Amino acid sequence: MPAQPDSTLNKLIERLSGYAKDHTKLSEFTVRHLKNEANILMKVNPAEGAMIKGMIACLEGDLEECEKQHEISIKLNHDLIFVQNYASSLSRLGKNKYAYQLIKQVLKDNKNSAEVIYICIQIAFYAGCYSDISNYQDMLKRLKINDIPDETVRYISYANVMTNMNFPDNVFPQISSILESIRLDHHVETKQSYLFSIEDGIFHWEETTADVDTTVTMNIELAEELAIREDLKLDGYTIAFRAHQ
Amino acid sequence: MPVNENDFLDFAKSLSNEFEINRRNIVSRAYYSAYHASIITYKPNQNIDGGSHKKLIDSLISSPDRKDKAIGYILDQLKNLRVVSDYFLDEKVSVNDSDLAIRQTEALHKKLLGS
Repeated sequence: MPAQPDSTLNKLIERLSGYAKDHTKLSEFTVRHLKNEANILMKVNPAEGAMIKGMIACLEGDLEECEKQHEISIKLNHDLIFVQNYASSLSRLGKNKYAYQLIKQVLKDNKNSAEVIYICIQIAFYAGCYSDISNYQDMLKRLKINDIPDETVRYISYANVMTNMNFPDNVFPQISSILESIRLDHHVETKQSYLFSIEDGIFHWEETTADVDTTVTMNIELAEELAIREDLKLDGYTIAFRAHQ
Repeated sequence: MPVNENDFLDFAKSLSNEFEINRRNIVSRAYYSAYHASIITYKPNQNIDGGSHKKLIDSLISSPDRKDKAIGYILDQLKNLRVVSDYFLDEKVSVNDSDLAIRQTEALHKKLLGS
């Protein structure tokens, strides 16, 4: 059963998405309250209840529970909203490769939804699939969208910078996989990416939710991983993690 | 020698991180400490294009030794933080950014001692 506008589900999705967007740290009381709401929903519609539980687990940073609940939800109901929210949760927890596969499924049947295209652009960016983003930009042009969110415009502009570096297509997805694996090992989420054009090339600074000490460890792990990857030639491209701001 | 690589780091650590201009100087001094510590250990390939910093970093990254390569990537990260701090005046340099520059430089010093 598809969700109805103004339903309890939609209100919960809106609330949870807002928390995720702002990286709000939830109090125990709020988590308990949200879980109660999810349990009530579960009795009426198990797919919706599981999806909400997955989104709550995402906010708690519990990847395992997040995946478990979202998997239950999409097994019970494969409607787009369930897949879309699963993709968004995974992306927030830094599992962008799989999130990108999921959101592409959603996009296939929603080529006229600007909202889905925005999500697709964001996830493609963090999955390192920069060259795909120009296709999504074309889709937005065809839809004649005038007020594209600033965040999406930034991802498009950054993706253009990256593709102009003319690295082979597989380089950035591989770098994104390395970043993803380091982030997941340290249980931290991406907050924002920054790109700087500097004299010798591009500096890509990726802010996460990690503190300073963890970020130093992550940067060293990143350097050590790049050092063993003979296949990745990164002339003029530097990537580093930035501690939370 | 009037000063050494540790003096740059000590100076960076002596600055109060309360003010943005100090934080930018902390990042910059920390990088120079990392650079000088690295150049004591490694001789850059002079055939590489670019200035002395690029020569050193590119020499390390193109080294067949993985440990040297990793040091090159770490140094490159610190160099780019310095560039942001010194040239991108609209970008805020936070306490965490300056703390990170110090801690990462300390970590690099340790790695160099082990190399």
